[in-house]
Amino acid sequence: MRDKKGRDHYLGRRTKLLSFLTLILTWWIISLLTSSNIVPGPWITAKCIGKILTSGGFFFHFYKTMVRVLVGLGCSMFLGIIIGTLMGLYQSVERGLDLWIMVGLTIPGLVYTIFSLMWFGLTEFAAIFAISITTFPSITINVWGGVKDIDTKLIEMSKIFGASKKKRFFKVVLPQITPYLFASLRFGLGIIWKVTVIVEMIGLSSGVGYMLNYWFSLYNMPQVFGWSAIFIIFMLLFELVFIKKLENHFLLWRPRIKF
Amino acid sequence: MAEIEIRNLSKIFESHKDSNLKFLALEELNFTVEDKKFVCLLGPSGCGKSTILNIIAGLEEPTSGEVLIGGKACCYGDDRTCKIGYVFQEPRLLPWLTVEKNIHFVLESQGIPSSQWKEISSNYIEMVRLREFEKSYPYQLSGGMQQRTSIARAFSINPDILLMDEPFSGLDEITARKLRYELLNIWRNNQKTILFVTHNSFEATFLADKILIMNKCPGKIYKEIKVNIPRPRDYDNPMLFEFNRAIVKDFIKFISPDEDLQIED
Repeated sequence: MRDKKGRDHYLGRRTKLLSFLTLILTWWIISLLTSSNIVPGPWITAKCIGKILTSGGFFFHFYKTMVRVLVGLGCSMFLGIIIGTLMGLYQSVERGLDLWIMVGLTIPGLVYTIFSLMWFGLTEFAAIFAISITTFPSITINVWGGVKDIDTKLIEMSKIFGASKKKRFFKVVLPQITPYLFASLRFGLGIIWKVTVIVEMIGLSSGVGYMLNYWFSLYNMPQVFGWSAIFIIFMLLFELVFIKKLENHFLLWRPRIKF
Repeated sequence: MAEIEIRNLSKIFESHKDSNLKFLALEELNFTVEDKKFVCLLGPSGCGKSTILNIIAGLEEPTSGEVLIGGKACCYGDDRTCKIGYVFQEPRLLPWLTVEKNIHFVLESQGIPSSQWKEISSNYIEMVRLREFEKSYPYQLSGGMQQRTSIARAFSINPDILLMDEPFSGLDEITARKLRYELLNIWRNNQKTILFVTHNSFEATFLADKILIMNKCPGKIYKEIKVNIPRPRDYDNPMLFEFNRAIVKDFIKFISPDEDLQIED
């Protein structure tokens, strides 16, 4: 059994590496067929990334974006978990809010951004407001679904065996919605990166989005590629290293699906 | 002393939408489960057997009448005083906890100090022969093993009374048989007051000291039968078959008196 596990792991790694190499190769071939102002090749992009990382402004802009992303994520998770939980637990809240959550979900992030910037000016607060409002409906929906899915039979069991209300919440309810919390975290992150860049592009004078816009206006494709690549790589690392680790830790008990 | 006494227990369910729509689920029940006895409640589906257990466990309140456990009135909700072990039809284990941790969960819920958990859990896990699976998660176990865990969990809190709601009806007959033997063995070494609900008359005959037969609409106990077959019992004991046949005959006559059912002797 251990052997099979090891082999699966090895095969998984090999497939991943192969797909990565294919991507680089395709990129390289396309770059050969076009000029570096349209698709800069991997080597030019790598050199450009090096230039960006060693330039003085990089950490400032990167740091700005990260703060917005994390604070925005925090706010939207907070709102989403509270509203989603209430919607899952109380039918009246659900009936009153479900339409508005749907409406909130359909409005594009760009619209929120414009509203927010016009209301609050070109400020940090406006940015974080726009980011949080765009993201929280999808988090709410995930949490709401999770709470509705709770197995009431397990709650009954814990009641019979004398678990206090606090224990029931932390040991029976919370673990059941944990997978949904992770789903919503991922979902939220996916949206939040995108919104943050848009907000920075149109309303702010710092951050990765601002730099993308800057190089866009100078029509410098390698720089645009370089900034995008850094951003994407960091996003991936965050997802793979941080969230995946957390998830593995918390959701070890779930069976692997064999289809 | 922890006997269960049911006095004039009635339960009426009201529809959520229309309070005029009422359904009499249990009518004027009276019975006693004597201390350290094994009593089976036998009845057709929908006769209110599970409702009785829910009321005794404090999940539901009776419309009238009372439940006494060890001579004291049963409290409802979070401030219950007696310890109740429960084995459900499905195992109802917490899927994110290992076998061992599932038992620790109920020990913790009962306020038993954590220094004793390890010893108690390994004791009861040993009893249901799941030593090698102590650290396994429920999804890694078969249905029978999950139900064994559930039995170990119910005994582990050293309950005043044990309630069992058709715990073997979801298992195949061979596994169910093994588990019935095991249950009786465990019970012999851990004398508890057990109320066991089933719709399987042979199971009731094999397990019980006393069988309470119910009929439905409204749920009522119409017969109490003492099973005077010596223990330990064997599945092939012809006395069991005789006994079971008499019960079934009676049962069918009562449940559907109009239908012309023939039982060949």
